[in-house]
Amino acid sequence: MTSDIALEAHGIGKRYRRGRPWALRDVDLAIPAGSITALVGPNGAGKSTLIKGYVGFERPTEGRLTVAGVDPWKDRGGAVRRIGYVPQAASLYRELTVSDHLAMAARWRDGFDTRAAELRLDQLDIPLDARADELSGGQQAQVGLAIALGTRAPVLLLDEPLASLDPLARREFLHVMVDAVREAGTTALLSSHVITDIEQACDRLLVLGGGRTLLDVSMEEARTIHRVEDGDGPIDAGRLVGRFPGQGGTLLALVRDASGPGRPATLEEVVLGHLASGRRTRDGDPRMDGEAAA
Amino acid sequence: MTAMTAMRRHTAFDLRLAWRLHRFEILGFGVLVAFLGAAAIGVAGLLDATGYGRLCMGDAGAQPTACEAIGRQFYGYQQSLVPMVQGLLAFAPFLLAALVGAPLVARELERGTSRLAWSLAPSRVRWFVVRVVPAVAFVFFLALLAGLALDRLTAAIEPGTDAARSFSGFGSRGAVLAARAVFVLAIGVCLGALLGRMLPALLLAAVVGWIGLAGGSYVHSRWLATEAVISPTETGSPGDLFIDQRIKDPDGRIMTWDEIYAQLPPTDDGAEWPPAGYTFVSYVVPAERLPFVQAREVAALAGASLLFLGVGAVAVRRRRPG
Repeated sequence: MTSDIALEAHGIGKRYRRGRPWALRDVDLAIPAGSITALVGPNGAGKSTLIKGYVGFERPTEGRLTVAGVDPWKDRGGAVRRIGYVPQAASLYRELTVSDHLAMAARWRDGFDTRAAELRLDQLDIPLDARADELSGGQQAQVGLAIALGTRAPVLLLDEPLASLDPLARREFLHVMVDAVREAGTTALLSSHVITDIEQACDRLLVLGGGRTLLDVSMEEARTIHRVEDGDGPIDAGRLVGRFPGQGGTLLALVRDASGPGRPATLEEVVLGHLASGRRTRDGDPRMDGEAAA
Repeated sequence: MTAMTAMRRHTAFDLRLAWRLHRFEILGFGVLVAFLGAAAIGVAGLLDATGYGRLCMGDAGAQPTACEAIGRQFYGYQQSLVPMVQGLLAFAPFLLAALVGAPLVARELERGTSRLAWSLAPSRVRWFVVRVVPAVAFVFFLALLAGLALDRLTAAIEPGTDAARSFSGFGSRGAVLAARAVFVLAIGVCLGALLGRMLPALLLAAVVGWIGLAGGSYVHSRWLATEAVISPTETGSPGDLFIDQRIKDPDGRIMTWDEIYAQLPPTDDGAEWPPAGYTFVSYVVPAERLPFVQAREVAALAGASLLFLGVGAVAVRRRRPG
């Protein structure tokens, strides 16, 4: 590993049972240190599986993962020490108060910054003496984030923490996360379905579909190298990424082209186009494009 | 901060966490065992107060007519109060063990709190130990209290016999009861870690625990039979563990019932059987062996408990966090 790569994956494959489809297949990644990477893909794309692999919750069937150079399956403790993890559901103990959770984090993590976590929660008006089951979903997610940030780990893994939050809570969560991560120079990998929210927060985009990497570029590059054209007309196969239904049911085509006909693609269109391409590649049937995006 | 200070702080936190997570079980069973223990001691006091052992046993010399009334009261208590208190107090530790053990890890897996805990704890085995040790200590402590209260009750039930040197109620009182409760707890913890679901783990722990204890008792009783010695009395001395009855022939040979039947079949003529010169003797484990037998069973149960907890730790180390 080079020191500027925080998370790596080499030919990662994961199959939960023999004979079942692969949840991840041949995934190669190198996420630069200090970046905030959005991990995007539909349900079953393998986002959670990949993140759980880094935390040591899932063992890859093939290939190798590293967190800051440490393989979680060879040195789980070493990998866990380098990770702050925010799971899909907040996973708090309903019987414990927010303070208890911070104390628990301090119990297990040397150097846990309880004061910073308390300050962060205080700024969000989350009472430290409230039990977890008295908090809203957004507040629980914020507690989970405060714990993960309090570990001062160099890598932050966020497994769809926005999924159950309302738009305002999502915005607040991302605001806190981005500020803290930028300030500390932490590397963050954030998986999410909600493309509009992550657009502002992240500087890299990683699209997974059908267990494979479909796109791994900077946000800037994602926007500049793609355009959208009318999907009904003929398009050169070398330029075409994928066809997907646009607003109002018109068929759109995402093409890999920095300039030319059509208009610049939005991030959502980039993701939809690549997901459609993933479906097309897997099924070998171009007519499936629209369904994949839907 | 020195290592000792850190350890003290961690221990204090671990105990506080155990309290916060298991308040209901701790309070509920604490009160239940305290109440039943007090009831057992109260019943023992009632039995003692009849004066049956003091006045009517051995060479006490009380009037037979007085002893009849005293005995009626003494055995009346034994039939009414003792079975209820004894049964509940002997059962409570196992209920406690299963209810604390099975959910200990399974609840974390079922509710998903293990995801947070295991992403924070660099060592899952250490996390497991921290969760299990207070539970073991709590169950052992309460079960021991129940066992000691049952010791006291046994002493009152059998006046004239030293309960500390009596096999009466073996396994259902004293330290063996506490060790058996910890064994059931360990099974519950192990199954909870393997299955990851509370209710199936609880039900299975009850079944496996029962089979384990019944099987263990059977094996131990067969083992004890090999250590039995001949007692010159028909059923052994008070406090002995009776294994079997034998007959001693005039030459001093010890015979089983089958052997004596084959040699001297009983007749229908009303003649004395077995004939003069033959005496009943018994195979018993002498009461003095009790401390050793108890220590051996406690050690075996502790070993089996450690084995189950070890399997639970391996399961926690390897499994997905729910």
